[in-house]
Amino acid sequence: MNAQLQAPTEQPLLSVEHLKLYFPVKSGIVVDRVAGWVRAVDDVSFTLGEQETLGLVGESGCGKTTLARCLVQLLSPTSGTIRFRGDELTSNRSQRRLLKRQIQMVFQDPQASLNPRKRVGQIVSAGLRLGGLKRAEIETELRGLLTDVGLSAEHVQRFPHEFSGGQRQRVGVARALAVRPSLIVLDEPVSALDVSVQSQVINLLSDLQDEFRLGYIFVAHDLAVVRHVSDRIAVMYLGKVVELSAGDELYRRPIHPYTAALLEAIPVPDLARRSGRAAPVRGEPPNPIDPPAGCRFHPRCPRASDVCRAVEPQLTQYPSGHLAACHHPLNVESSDLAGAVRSPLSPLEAGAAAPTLA
Amino acid sequence: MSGAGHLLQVEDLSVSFETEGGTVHAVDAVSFVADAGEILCVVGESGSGKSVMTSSLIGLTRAENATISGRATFDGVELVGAPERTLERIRGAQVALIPQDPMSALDPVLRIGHQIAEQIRVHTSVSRRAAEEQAVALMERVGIPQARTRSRAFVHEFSGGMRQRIMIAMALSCRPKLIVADEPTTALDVTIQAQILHELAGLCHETGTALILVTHDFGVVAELADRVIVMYGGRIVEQAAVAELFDDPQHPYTWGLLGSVPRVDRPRAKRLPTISGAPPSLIRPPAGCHFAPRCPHAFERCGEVPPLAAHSRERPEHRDRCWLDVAEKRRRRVVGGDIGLAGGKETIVA
Repeated sequence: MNAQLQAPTEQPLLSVEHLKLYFPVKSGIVVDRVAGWVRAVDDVSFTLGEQETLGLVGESGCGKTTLARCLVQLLSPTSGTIRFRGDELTSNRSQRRLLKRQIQMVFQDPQASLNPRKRVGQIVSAGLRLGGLKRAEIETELRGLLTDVGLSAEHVQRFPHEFSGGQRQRVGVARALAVRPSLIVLDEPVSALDVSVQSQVINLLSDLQDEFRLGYIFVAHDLAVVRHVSDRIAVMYLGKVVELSAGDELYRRPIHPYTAALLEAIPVPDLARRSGRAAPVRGEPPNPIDPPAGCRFHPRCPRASDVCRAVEPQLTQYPSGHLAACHHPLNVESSDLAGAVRSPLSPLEAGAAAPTLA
Repeated sequence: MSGAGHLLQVEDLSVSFETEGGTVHAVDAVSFVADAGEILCVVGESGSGKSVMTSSLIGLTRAENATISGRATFDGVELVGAPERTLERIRGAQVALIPQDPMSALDPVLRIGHQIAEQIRVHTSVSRRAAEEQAVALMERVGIPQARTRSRAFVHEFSGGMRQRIMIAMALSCRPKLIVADEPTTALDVTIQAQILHELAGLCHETGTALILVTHDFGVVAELADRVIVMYGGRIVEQAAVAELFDDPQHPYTWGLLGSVPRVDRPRAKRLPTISGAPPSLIRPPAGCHFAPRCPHAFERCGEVPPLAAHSRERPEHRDRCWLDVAEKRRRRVVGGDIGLAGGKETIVA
């Protein structure tokens, strides 16, 4: 990542370089013909440090779940590389099996992601058995894992349906932890849970991160939850990263108009905010099969100009370490612009135009 | 409160379902009113009975194992136990429902304009041509671009936000007096949610329609509500004008809910305050106060069901179900300078 946030000597836990994943759109009745491509993830780069939490936010269809699935190799990318502690995930097979254990995933819907016909003990210990442990060792490990996630040993013999939503998600977390990963990709881990249970699971995740020294990729659409858990946050729009920065900085000083619009749209439980809200951003995200030229946000953007319609903005790094892909950034001074440079994480096809004040 | 003057008056409404596991007491003696032109938000977690309550009102809880008792008077007409003919006249025309999932509420094989027009023609005597014109006008009004062309499209050709706009158009089509919206924006993205809620509230204020909005999001409540009902385990635990609920919340469950939501407008805390445990089983609910097993402030008296009562003479409309006295509540609900459920047991295993 950038020099300010990470010493160059330190190897990142995960680095994603120019990752693309295009899904073919087929047409034709007898013979399949590829009529186009959905650019679900389109040249995305970022890094994640050890024990860091990177929040990944964006609206539905922005590619955040597809990206998450690439990271755990449930989907194979069209191009680009993913490195785990420097080793390329996409390279050889034996390497890949070892690396797979290091990266685990917790899914959105704990109801759908746990096998209803298996007991919790079987679900959680599947990973342990693959690790070649002896029976007795598995037993102890299993009990330990269940306690770690706030369940108890008596739950071993139960089926998923005997648990509440929050407890089921704890089972999902225990399963991910079983193989002692260094990185857990959390895909909307709390959005299916009730408010009062959500906070319990969020606290659990933060405790486990400290205890097991885990890195997290936290995918969510709830910006308040993401801010609470993340060190840094990447905002995605139509397959691109449009902004990436330290969490607090992003909320205090959003640079991309899309981020600003997202933040403005969050309903805040505070009556004082009621009258002073700006009108919500217009329109809806366009079709990812045929995304707009230039900046993909320009049809909805109040600041769009001719350059936005023609040139894809580069991902620019500002002196504060904040990255944003916008021709007419918000909340920046001319001094910030003077120190701004094209980030190495910028999409390769992005134009060379430097951002200007609108 | 006297019955006169309220658009909707619900008294002691209870709904239960007989199941193999036992009787599920989904809604337990709920009473409230809704007036013309106001937005009433019903807040609660899943299983709190909020959706069953609203759908029973318009006669949509028709399962054979359901038992509904109590009274619900809408504009002078009793809804509970009313014959299906009466309900059919009211439903769609005077009370409209906006469901959470518009995809399952719209017919996938009929053109959208036709569906809206059909709804108009059921309740008013206009020609097909006139009804279709009205449908286009309604679609324009709820912000669907190129309404005339789009009225020829099918449901699957619309995005989630646009589908919800269609539901709003349908709800408005017969100028209802009351709209019941059950989590209308839960499935939508935040920017679209903001657009839809803005629109819905604006249209209701414009036309003087009462809106009952079921939600689990206190942010939405703060944004739109005039009055709020908080439900827990099938009961109303607190009801108040929105300003009073936020400034002076009385029930510990409300404190817990307000406290456990991460806030973008506050500095980041290391840990989130939580409510320990999980919502109660409605088959064997706890005796007394339903929230007592999760409440750090519970004492002996919580074994009895607290009445839904006003806590001060000046504010008879602000009612809650809690045995703690007001001074004690004010002292206990402040945690670290903010409203919260103090002394929450951190570990859980229900």
